[in-house]
Amino acid sequence: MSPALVSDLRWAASFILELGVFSLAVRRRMFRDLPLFSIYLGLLLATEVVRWLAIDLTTLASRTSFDTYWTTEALLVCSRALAVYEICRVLLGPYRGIWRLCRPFLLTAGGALILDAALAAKESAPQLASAILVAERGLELAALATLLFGLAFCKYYGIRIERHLLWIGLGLGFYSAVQVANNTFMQHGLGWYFPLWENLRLVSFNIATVCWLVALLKPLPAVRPILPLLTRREYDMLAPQVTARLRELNTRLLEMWK
Amino acid sequence: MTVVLMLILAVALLLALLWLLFGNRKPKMDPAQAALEIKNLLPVNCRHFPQVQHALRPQDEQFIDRRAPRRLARQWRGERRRVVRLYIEGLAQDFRGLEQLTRLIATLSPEIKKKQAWEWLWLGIQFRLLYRLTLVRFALHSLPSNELMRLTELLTGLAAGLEHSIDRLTPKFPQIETSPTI
Repeated sequence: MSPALVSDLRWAASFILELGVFSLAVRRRMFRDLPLFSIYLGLLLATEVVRWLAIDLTTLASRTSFDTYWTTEALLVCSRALAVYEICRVLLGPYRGIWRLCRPFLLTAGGALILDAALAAKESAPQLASAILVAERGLELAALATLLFGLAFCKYYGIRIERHLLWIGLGLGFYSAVQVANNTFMQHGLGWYFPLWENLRLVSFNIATVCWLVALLKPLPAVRPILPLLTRREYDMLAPQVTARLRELNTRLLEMWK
Repeated sequence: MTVVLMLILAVALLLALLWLLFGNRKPKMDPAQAALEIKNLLPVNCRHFPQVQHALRPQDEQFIDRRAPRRLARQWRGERRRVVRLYIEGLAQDFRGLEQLTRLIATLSPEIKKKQAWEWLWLGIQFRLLYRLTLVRFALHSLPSNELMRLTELLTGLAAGLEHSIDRLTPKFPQIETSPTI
């Protein structure tokens, strides 16, 4: 079997997998809960078609193919970052106080890493390929950090993560983590590492797609009801009371050491 | 060097992701059961202090030293230390219950004061450190019973003060879905 045929078959298999995930997402009406992630799944398919057309109309090594690939990739990375933010919002949004507390953290962490990526890419600007890799790595890192921050808040406050969000989060996070390492290797080993970089990229993306497929295998849970919240007065009464007791308990434990 | 650092970072982030998603996942709590469980957040172990205090009386020790054979006295002291240790662990469990209560309050609050949230987090960290150190200290020396008594009084007072607060939270609890993480 020729390498070109193997490559085509792999591309076709990947496309079929993405198509399956998108169809399931439409069938499960996921766009009601996660519109941005649904758009991302749609964009994946559109991107594959555009890239294929660019290669088919020109050549794989042409400038048009290169530009098409990286422009669509930038679109996908941004879309993925938005999907990550959406997952955090869906998880923490019903808990208004926690969401208000968490949102600045997510935006600051994401913003700082994007800024860092932009500065690093600017430094590498003379080498276009290197700049693109650095920028992409930074964006993936920003998306991953945002997701981890959101999940850490869920863990700390004991917020249950729905099964489908768990698998979607795993897919997004896994792919980003692999790309962070993969792009670093590629940046330092341009040339010889390229085939491995390409394979790792494809395989990790296929694994992520399988995670999303698992997420959609079962029907999505019903939308959660709006939570009955404490009034401001109740919070102002309860919070200092508990804090004072916890503080006192620690002081007592400290006294044991004197 | 950068390559190795980035590789370590990527692996660490991936492991953190797996832990946050799949680590220590407890089964979904039935809402009716959850409403009952909220009552369990109040300190309970500190209620057994009278029995522990009784076991720590110096008179008992003097009596045992006078009357019992050395081997039996040693065994008795060992048992007594085990009881006290379990009691300290129970107090820690009480603290964790209170900590969970703070999280529940945060979950139900329309707005959380940042300062308050940081303080709760810091108190939790501080308590864990102190608790571990206390256990180590206890393993090395004996813990004065009057200190234990003060600690217990504190938790008992807390339980009394919070029962009213818990009553306010309970009707709102069955509708929220949280899982205990402690």
